[in-house]
Amino acid sequence: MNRYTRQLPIIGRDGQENLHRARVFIAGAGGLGTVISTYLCLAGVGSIIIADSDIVEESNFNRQFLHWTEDLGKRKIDSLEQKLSRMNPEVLIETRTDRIDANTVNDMVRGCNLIIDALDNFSTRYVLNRAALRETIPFIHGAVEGFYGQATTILPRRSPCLRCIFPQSPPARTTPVIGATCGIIGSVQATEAIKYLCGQGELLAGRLLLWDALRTEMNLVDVARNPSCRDCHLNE
Amino acid sequence: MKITLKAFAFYRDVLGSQTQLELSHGATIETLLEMLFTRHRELRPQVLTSEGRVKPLVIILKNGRNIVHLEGLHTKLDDQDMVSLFPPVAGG
Repeated sequence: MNRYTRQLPIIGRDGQENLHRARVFIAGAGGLGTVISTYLCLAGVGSIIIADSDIVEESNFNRQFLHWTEDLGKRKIDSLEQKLSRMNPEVLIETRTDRIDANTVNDMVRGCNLIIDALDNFSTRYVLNRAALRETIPFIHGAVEGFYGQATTILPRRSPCLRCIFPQSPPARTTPVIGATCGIIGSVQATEAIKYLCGQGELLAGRLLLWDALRTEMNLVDVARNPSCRDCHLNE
Repeated sequence: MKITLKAFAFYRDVLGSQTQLELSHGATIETLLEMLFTRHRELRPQVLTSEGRVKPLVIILKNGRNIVHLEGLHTKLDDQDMVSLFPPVAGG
């Protein structure tokens, strides 16, 4: 327990036990996934499952700080697993290389307490959103672009789902991003996960956080459920 | 009637962060946007397609609900409504 000495006064032994017993699914091992997995691993989340099918490329290096020069060409999840398991050997890191789609997602999220979005596209986010609603697993959304970021926490049947807030997928494209933007939003997502697992504080459910680094402003916009949402509706 | 408009990112550069606007009874989101386009001509191509539809890169919420789920541009506004305008980001 020594490695958790500085957080035990905040979350208590019960909170630490909750983290240890938790099984968290992180979709994506890129900019957000690096930050989220780092902080959850350091906090002592018992099992972290990370899914990504990409390999490490040089263009990742401005933000994905657990992929190093010698990792070029490796699978991202192998690179992450190697670093995270050395960072905290008490944490079990499981990896998945298969693509997240309607056929694979159920098996990936089964038995998880939380699903965390570290993806780079909305079409796969909608797959995760539906799985979270179907399995009644809280889903922590985050996304980044340039100096901007957004995050929200979806509590199935209680707060608006991703489709309620973002009914249409923005066009898929390669988005430029400042690495530190991933740091801010990924940290918000990791904090939401720790709060949820320890039962502390007020989650971002029903609120969308918008980060504007150019103005150094974080704003919260209240968001509401859509009573005829096709994703929510299917699962009630 | 008075509504509050909150704009973020690019839209804030043009519109300011939070604005109170006076609209006539029966005004819709379209009425509001046309008022904004009159004042800020550069905004129209950022918000609407050439066919006059809201671009997928724009999120418009009325009291927290996306207007796509309401009546789109024809969504009616009432006194004290809050309209939020921002671009979604998608990267990870």
